[in-house]
Amino acid sequence: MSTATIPVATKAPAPTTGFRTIGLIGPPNVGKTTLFNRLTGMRQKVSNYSGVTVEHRTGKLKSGQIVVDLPGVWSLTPESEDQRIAVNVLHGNQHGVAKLDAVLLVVDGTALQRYMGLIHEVLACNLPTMVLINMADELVARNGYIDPLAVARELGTPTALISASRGTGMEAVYHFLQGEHAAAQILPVLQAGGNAAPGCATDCNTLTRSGAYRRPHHSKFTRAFDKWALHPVVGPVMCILFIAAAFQIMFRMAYPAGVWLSDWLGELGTRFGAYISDAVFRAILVDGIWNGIASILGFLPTILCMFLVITLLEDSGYMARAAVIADRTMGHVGLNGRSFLPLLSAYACAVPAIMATRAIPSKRDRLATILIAPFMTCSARLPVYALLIAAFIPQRQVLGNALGLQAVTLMLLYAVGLLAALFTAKLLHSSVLKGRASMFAIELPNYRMPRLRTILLALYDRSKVFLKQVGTVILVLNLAVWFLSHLPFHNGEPSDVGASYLAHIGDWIQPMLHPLGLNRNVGISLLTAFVARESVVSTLATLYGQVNVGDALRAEVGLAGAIALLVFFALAMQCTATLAVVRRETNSWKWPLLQFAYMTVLAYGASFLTYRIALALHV
Amino acid sequence: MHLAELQQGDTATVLGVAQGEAYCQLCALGLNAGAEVELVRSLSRKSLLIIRVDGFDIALRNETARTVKIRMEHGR
Repeated sequence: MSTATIPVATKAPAPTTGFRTIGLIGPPNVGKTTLFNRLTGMRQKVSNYSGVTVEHRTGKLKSGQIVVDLPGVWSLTPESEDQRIAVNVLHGNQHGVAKLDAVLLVVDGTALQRYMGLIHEVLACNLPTMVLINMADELVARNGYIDPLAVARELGTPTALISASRGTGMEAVYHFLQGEHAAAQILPVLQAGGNAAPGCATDCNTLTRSGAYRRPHHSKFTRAFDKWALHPVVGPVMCILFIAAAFQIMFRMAYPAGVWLSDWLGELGTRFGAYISDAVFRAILVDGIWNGIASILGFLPTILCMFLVITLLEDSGYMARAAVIADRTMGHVGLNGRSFLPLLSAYACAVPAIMATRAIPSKRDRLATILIAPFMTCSARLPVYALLIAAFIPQRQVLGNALGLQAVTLMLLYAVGLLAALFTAKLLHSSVLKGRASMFAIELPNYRMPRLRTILLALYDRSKVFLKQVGTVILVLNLAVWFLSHLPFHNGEPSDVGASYLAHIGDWIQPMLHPLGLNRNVGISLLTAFVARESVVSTLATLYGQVNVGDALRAEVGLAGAIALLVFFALAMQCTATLAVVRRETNSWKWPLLQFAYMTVLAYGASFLTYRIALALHV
Repeated sequence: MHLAELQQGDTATVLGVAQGEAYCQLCALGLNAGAEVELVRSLSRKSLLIIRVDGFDIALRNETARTVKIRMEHGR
């Protein structure tokens, strides 16, 4: 990485102490926070949201100099709150912030023309300023070119190419902060930026003409491919084919791999557990903790596969086109195209889907997407559907042998989830998350080969977040359910789930399940489903002992009750993993609890209605 | 006039973006004063517009495009 500074000889004696207070300014998403972390060593969250730094933050350099992180702004016109604060800080009028001695202005090198207005506004504040052109490596990778020396000459201020994420080019920044270029600021060259922002295109044209800057070029392939990718008919078909392929991989490979992994780990636990003589200790360690960890790790293949697909789509540039194609449909329920992919991935598992909502810039749209994602029929619901459908729905052909009745039932269940999601999105849009029509604007980047490094980093990062922050909450909640289903201990043996505290809770909620036509055993199994939806099947098997679960349910619950149970299961928030990830992504317990309450009430209501209708029809 | 009024193939210069929810995001997409724009194509009866801004393509909704004030240069 080359660095450069203004090539004007500075004969005046440079101040040896350097600047005391330095302002860090720049638009959102150009790596300003990353640079701030690098300079001050203060750990901060780097997020993609516009306005992650609404409040200014300060940090200290090793040399004791103070760095003030200004709000991310696109202009210094004091129209928004962020911009007002930025202007006040720059002019030394912000209460509680020391007067700045120098400014570091960070911009994104891949689209310099967008920042010329801001650059000139900041230079017009007449503070010693260094322009830091970030992501210059990216520019070069996309066939662009930048000559920092020439840019510095044109702007009349020190300029450096940096990579905030890799830390290259930082020496020049430290030199500048030591005041080694301070004298240059007094030179009359500065007049270039003396006035408030002139038309920014003109300035960039000057840079382009003088050969200092060449924009990354737009590839011919991209334009040719987009003719088809955004075609009214071919576009959606192409999109559906990509999705179908992704789901094929998901259901054929990743999901079975996850089941295999957690089974294998479970078996491993049992084998090693045999060496532990104390029964209670063994039960806690193996069945409680180890199996909990095994079930969390069982999620990992699905999550990795999902993020592999998402990262491939994102890094290749196709994601933006999919968002454009889906936008119209999403617009009907008050969402926009960016919610499409996260919602789609929720069909595999809500956990990665909710983690993927980070790409949605509007907080309101993101929250709406998080809240409706668990309605999508995830893969963990399938075993329960399979059990109940196999037990209750006869294998009859409908529509002239075209479809089996069982398959139709399964499709109906998918439809119930989807309808509930759309209904909820509409409801949210006209109540809690009320606002103007959702805006939608997205860049259509050049297509390119996905980079292995980006993919591996994304996968590593996502699995780390999942295991550390989501996994721990899942483990705690799962342990709580496990203890409830195994306490009290009798003579040093954990009790059977049918005699546990959980069963007592089952007894307690039974009156509430009665109107749905469901019995105590189903109630208990629904409680254990919080750990993992599919455990409904195994709990029922335990509770009914030797009897075939399907036969037992047919005798005790009946078809009407079974349909009610299916509807309840399709709509209820029966998943601690999802609760945990919503808590983590919304950073509060408010939304997951609200979501849990809403989904449970909706599930109960719909289930009750279904049961009554089914009874009235004498099914 | 505003961006949504362009016909396919028209080029124009951006005068500014109205303050509001979309402001920051549109600036980030290069729709600053002085930027040259061209309507490349419109999708689903002009409800979505594909705009070329300084050589880059972006897609935006019609309502969002209405917040961008432009000056027409020449039609084709």
